[in-house]
Amino acid sequence: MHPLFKELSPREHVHIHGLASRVAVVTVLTAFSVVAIGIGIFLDLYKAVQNSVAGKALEAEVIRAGVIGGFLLIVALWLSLTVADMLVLRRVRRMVEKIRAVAFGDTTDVNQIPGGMGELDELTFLFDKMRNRMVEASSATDEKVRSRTADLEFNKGMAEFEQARTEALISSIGEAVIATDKEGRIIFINQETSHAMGWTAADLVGKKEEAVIVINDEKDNPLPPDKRPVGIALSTGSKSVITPLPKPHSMVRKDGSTYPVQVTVTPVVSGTNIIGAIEVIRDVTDEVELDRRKTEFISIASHQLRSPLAATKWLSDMLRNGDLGALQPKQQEIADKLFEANERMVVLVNELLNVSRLDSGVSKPTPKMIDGSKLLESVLSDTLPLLTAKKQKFAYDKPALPQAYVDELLIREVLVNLVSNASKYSPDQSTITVTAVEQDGMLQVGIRDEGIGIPKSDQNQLFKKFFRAGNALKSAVQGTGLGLYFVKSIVEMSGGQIWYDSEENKGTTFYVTLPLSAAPTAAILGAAGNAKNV
Amino acid sequence: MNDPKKKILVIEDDAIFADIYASKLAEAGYNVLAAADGQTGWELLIDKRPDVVLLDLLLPKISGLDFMTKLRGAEDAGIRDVPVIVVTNLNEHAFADAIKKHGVHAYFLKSDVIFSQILEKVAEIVREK
Repeated sequence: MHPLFKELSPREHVHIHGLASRVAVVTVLTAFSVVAIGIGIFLDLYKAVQNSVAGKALEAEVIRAGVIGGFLLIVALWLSLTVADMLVLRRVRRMVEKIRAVAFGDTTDVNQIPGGMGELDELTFLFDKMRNRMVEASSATDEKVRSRTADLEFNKGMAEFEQARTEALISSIGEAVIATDKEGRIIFINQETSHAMGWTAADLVGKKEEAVIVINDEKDNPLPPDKRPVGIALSTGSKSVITPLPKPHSMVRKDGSTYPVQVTVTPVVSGTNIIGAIEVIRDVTDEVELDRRKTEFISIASHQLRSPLAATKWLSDMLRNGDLGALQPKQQEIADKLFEANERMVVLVNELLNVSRLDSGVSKPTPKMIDGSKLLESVLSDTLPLLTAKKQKFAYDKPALPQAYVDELLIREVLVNLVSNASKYSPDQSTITVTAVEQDGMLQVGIRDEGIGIPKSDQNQLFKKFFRAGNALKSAVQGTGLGLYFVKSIVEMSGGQIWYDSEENKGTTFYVTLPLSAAPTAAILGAAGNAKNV
Repeated sequence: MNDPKKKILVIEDDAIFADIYASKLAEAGYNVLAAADGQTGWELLIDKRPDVVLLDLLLPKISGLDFMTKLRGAEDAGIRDVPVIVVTNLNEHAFADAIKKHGVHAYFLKSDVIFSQILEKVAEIVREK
């Protein structure tokens, strides 16, 4: 049945059905009325004839004429009814059938109702017209509906394709992915989440992420709510990351076991609204293992490289000291050179190892509060033999210094390195001037020499790995080109700055600033702009 | 020179260094007890009660760090308080810090010292005893 006719009620059905019957009833009643009037007229006529003088003689004639008239009248009525039925009622019935068919949705019969006379003919003509227009309108509507339905089907298909593609993408990612709504409730997890953590979608979906996913910090304590990246991303609208450095956080699996992770949470933003978050949890077990092996390798390489050098050192030292018997002058010279060459190798290996420790991230400053005065004085006392060997001296007025927040061992190496350079590149009997002041919230140490200086053309390269200034290369001073690279790396990793003033053949002053507290101060941030020659 | 001869326990697995210790310390008048691994070193320590221990760190059987932990945890004060000089090529801060926590008289990197510096330190400890 056509949808347009669906709402038609049974009452209307009955109404249409009764139309032809009523026409028939009215026609029959009219016929009976005519017959009744005819009988009435005949009886009146018959009485009039009986009362008249000549009536008696005509009585039989009148009765006969009345009977014949009545018979003819009935025949005429029957004929008129039949004609009426043929001309009008039959057509009306056919029209009713057609209208009923159309009313109940059957528009397939397009044959015209046979024509008739007058208004009935017009009625059939109009009905056909109306039906045809309705069929046209209906098929136009059908076409629209079909087209709209096709559009909807297409869009639905596209949406399903997009969803399937997104799900396939997320599922195929090797990292665990958890999607939450704006309240932090889990709405989706990918296969890797189940695989890595042991949770199923049924365990997690619909629950608050912070209630089911436990992330431990580097000390194995569960992260407090304000440190959890999903919470941060949802409240700030910006990406929140927990990096595996310096020590990785760990993810607690369903069974309670843990594994090291990097967690990245990106808020999902629609317009200006945060509508959810995507949490990506990367298993960094391999990286942690690699890092451990790297550290172990450097440590072993360091030990293994030093051992033969140390043996050579001790043995050549015995040789040159005449432990194995007095040496001829030429033998003595060779023994001394052997010892010196080995010493250079020791320095090179030490510096290379220091640099590779820094570059690989194995060596990182672990700062503590250190007495600045004590640190500086002990560096000066340790390096005094270097100066004494060249008849040089320190000028240092021992000011009272604040505590500095540094890694004592590393900063000691920095200062020893700078003092050692100052001594090496300065003439005998010269003075190394050491200054120290608290300035802009930092401890600033200056080490001034009266040495060969750094040529202007080399100044921008001084801190580069393996770089040595032209005049240093020409001098007799041995060097690896690693010392200042190491020094600069350490100082910057410690939150300080290093720069220098230098004039060729007059001398160089190196300045180092060191933080006084753990918190980065404005001075540190501002110092970057003041760094000179770096 | 020393009478009776002071006993120096040398725990060193590298034969080159062990030989140098043996000859130079004997030359300096000490009685050298040599062990090539931590276990032998521990047994000699208990048995011979040396005056000073020269300890390498990377050792077979019992590592230098474990040796120190065991030593400083000993009930016998004569064992527990024996002076130790670490002579190693292990320059890791973490290791050095751990070993220094146990209290050592000196921590020498083999490649950074010559033998006479070690000998001086030994003499200094022996003098103070």
